[in-house]
Amino acid sequence: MRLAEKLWIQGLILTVVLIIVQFELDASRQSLATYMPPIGFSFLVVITYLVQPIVIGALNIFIINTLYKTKGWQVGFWLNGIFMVLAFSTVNLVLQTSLDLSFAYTASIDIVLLALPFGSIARFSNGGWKKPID
Amino acid sequence: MIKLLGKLFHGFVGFINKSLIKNLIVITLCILFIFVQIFYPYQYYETAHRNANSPFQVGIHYVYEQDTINQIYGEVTRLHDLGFKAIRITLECNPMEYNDLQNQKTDAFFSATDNHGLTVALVIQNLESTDKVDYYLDRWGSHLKYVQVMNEPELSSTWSVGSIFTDDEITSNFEHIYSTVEAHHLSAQLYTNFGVGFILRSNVPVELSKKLDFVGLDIFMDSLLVLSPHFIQYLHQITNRDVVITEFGMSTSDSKVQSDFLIKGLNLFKSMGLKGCWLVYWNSQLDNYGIRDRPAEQAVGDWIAENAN
Repeated sequence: MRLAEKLWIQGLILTVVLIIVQFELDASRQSLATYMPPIGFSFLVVITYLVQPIVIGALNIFIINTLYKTKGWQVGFWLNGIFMVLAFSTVNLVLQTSLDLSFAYTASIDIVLLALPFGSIARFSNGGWKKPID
Repeated sequence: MIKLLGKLFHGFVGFINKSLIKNLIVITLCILFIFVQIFYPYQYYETAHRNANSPFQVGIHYVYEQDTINQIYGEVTRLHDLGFKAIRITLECNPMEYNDLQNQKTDAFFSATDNHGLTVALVIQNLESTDKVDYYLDRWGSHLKYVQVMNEPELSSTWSVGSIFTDDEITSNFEHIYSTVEAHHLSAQLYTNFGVGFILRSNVPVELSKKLDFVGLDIFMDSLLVLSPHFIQYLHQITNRDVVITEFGMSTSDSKVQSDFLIKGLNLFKSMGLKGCWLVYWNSQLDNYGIRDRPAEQAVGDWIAENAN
């Protein structure tokens, strides 16, 4: 596979996962918000900014190690994940605000147009090692 | 030359590919993204002037009970001439004596608003008695376009220290006032306003909004104004109701700061496509919120003439 194809696949997988998580969070926002406030709200914050980044960060390094035949990681799961979550949510916020679009539309833009850029920053934001490591 | 550029590029890639450097770049970009997320919506809406032709109602809270009875008609006329379309008032009356001075003031107020075709929003405070609400709505209910059921209930029952409502108290108090208002079969739209504290007690707007036509949000400080696009979007998401800014003002003795704050907010809320913004206050003896006879009065009047439909 060429580098561009690898980056596109990496971006596409991460974008789809981030979109699914965002849709699920939006759907459960009201029920979490009404669950023994402010405990439900704190759950929402923990899921959004702790659990989700760890999942995304782990997925990203798994994809990198699979596609580029590397081992280990340069940036921790959470930091790499929060970077991806913030990059994704910032791009969507700017698109939604500037173009007055709902998340469903920006999600389509993310998949169709931004998979390759997301793949590039995902690849840039972490990396494994070629030589064997303990 | 190309070889040199190639070497420089590979050197740069090699440099940023070091774990330490990559971590630092990622952390720096994360901080940058957080700043963009906080400030971008405010900066965009404040300067974009979107929705220029969409209807936007500018209202104001008039504390007419602090004025003399002879003053009220003139003040309402002044508000009308400035371009305000809605006037928000607090429920004040004396159910025990028909011709009480407060009741006469209320008569004078509604006479003036009817003559000028202004819509009126009535605020029913959190601990208002049923008798008083019944008396008021029997006598003046037909003049009302909007009725506010409770004021910032997520915050407290009154402004006294330690008077925070429990969830059950909010719900039962709301049901009590709501059923009292509903019994009068008014054509008025019902709403409740919330402060930014609703973020921590989101169950309150979610529960109350089920019976409301729209919800209100109150903004009082620069920092809250900057964050208001986030608050407005979140309140709209959890309630599925239109959001109107029901209290917007700043208590400051610096008239320029107050005037600038109000104009920035009006630009922001109109650009966001909200249906209206009601200022607090026209007059206020106890603090510096009032805009009457201050530069903000003319600034807001000029803004309405240029921007509000």
